[in-house]
Amino acid sequence: MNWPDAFLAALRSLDRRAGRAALTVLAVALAAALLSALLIVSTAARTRVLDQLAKGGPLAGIQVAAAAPGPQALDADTPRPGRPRDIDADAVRRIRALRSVRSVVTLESNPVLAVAPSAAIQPFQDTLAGLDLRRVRTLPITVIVGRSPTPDSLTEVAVTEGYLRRVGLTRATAAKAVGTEVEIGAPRSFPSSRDRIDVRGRWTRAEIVGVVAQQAIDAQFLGSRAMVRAARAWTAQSDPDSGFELPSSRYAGLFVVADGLDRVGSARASITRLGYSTSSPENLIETVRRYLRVVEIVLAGIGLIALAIAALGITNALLAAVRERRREIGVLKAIGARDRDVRRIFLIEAGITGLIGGLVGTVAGYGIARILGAVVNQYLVDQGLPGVGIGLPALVVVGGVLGSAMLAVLAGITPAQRAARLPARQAMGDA
Amino acid sequence: MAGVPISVRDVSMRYSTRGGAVEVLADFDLAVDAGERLAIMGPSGAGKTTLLALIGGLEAIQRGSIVVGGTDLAHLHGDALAAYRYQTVGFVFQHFGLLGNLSARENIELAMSFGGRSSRDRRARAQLLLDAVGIAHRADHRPAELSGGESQRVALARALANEPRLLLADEPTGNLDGETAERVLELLDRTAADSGATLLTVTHDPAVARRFDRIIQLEPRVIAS
Ligand SMILES: Nc1ncnc2c1ncn2[C@@H]1O[C@H](COP(=O)(O)OP(=O)(O)O)[C@@H](O)[C@H]1O
Ligand SMILES: [Mg+2]
Repeated sequence: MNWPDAFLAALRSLDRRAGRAALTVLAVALAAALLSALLIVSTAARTRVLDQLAKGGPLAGIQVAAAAPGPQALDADTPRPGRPRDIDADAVRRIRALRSVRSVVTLESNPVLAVAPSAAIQPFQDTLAGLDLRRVRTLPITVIVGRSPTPDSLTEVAVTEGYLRRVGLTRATAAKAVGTEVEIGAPRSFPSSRDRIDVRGRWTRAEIVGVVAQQAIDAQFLGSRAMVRAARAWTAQSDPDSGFELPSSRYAGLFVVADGLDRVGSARASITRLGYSTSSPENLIETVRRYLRVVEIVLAGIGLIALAIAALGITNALLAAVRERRREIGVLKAIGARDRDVRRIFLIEAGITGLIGGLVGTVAGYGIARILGAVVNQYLVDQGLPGVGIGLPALVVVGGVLGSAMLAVLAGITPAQRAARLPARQAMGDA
Repeated sequence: MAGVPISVRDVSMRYSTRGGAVEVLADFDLAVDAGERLAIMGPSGAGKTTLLALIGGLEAIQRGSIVVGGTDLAHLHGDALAAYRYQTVGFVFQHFGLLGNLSARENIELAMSFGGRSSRDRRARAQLLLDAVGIAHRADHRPAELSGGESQRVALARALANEPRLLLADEPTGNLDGETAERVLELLDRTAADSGATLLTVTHDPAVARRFDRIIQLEPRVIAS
């Protein structure tokens, strides 16, 4: 008997005891739904938690400060940096060339004076940071509302939570800042009398297009690289005798992505050897990952127990079917079925039950996870936090469907074996 | 295709049950010519079904030898025994033995699925057999939707599916009323004669038995030990 024939025979016998088969499928589906929902939710939570630790950047991200390494440079995730040390183009080139480094994003900055739209708020001093905004996704910068500025714009900025506080807004009301304008002035000192510095600004009217949470650089305004370079060019022409303090470093900092989480350590060590202070949440991420793994194992265990119970249900249903069909199995043998044909029919029956149950269950599990995700997101958004993305990990789909089918086939082994071993004499009816 | 000769020699069969051992056949001998049609009679419990089961390869031989068409059944096991049942034997049961989840046509096709026959070939032959037993109009009905007579015709068609050289019928009309029984018997007779298969039929009905070439009588010999 070939596989298609056996498959057909199995389908037909499932079809015959459709009611019981449906119940068995339902049990498998419930278990698979539980397992997949748990795994999907925990995967989403894991992504979210780790994302939070990395502040939206890559897990293998390392920040390099324009400073020499401090005394405990490599012992802590965020060590106290040493004295200032300039990052020039040569340093960037050398860090980029490191084996354990995948990519480097340079951060530039310039001091600015800012005037908020409301007259009630005093003009204030802060920093404008600029970077290649095309690569903003690879940095620990999370857009809370709005968007990040377009990569070459000279008139768009994103602001940080520090700015929000200054203008009396919170994360929850951050949207109010989007679309407002802020005037940003790059300072430049001119020669003047001895007892005072004459500073004039190069003013730009910029639209706030988004609010970001970021750890990449200490600045309240985030703009394009062109924008910050124009500001630097202006400020750089300041009167050298005026005593006006200007950042001497070409780059305010770097954001380095190591070649995988396990190479963060060696990348940091190399950068430290080159003479720069680094920080990264590597230890924190590692620790949290370990805890998350434990949680996942526990959740998967609960799901697997459910699946095991469902598998016992399959065994039970098939054993009953074998008992009821003793004579039919005998007849099958009388007309020429080999033991392995009989076994195959029952195993396929079990497999189909598991496959359908797994499929239905995984889809249902995804649905449940989506509903849970929507509820959680509603809460998170109310709290002014970014929502959770509920994905359908390929592993869950493959595992849920194939895993259920395989477990079902395992559950079918005993009944299939029992059926295969029934004496052919049963065909004649019970003597 | 010609029928097979059967030689049963010194066969003894004993079942051990909770109530003790039951000896069904003791040093039983029987010789059947190729193409012969034999009626087996005897009271209930005499061992008629057991004899058919032994000759048909459904029951392992404990003692003695059974040679069917030159094949010593005692030497067949597992797949070889299944192949013997598939290639050589066609069974007709009192209870019809149709698979309830399959249509009449599918029941017949199933019987052809344990060898290498193509599904198209199977379909064609099933149609031929359905026509031959006069049940083509019921081809897509399931056994539950067929009368006893119709069921037994389908079962007969199935028994003939692989052109068996030996037909074994265990009280084929036991569940049928007089007139239906008569027509099924006629059909069994005719198809066996047409194919030349050796035919062993168990029956309680002397009128039925008289149609056959030879009648043998089994006596119960139940010895508790
Ligand atoms: N599998 C078995 N286990 C125990 N006893 C059996 C078994 N099969 C048949 N018998 C016994 O063997 C005897 C003959 O049975 P059977 O061949 O069916 O007789 P018949 O068909 O002539 O009525 C009966 O007494 C029956 O109870
Ligand atoms: Mg009997």
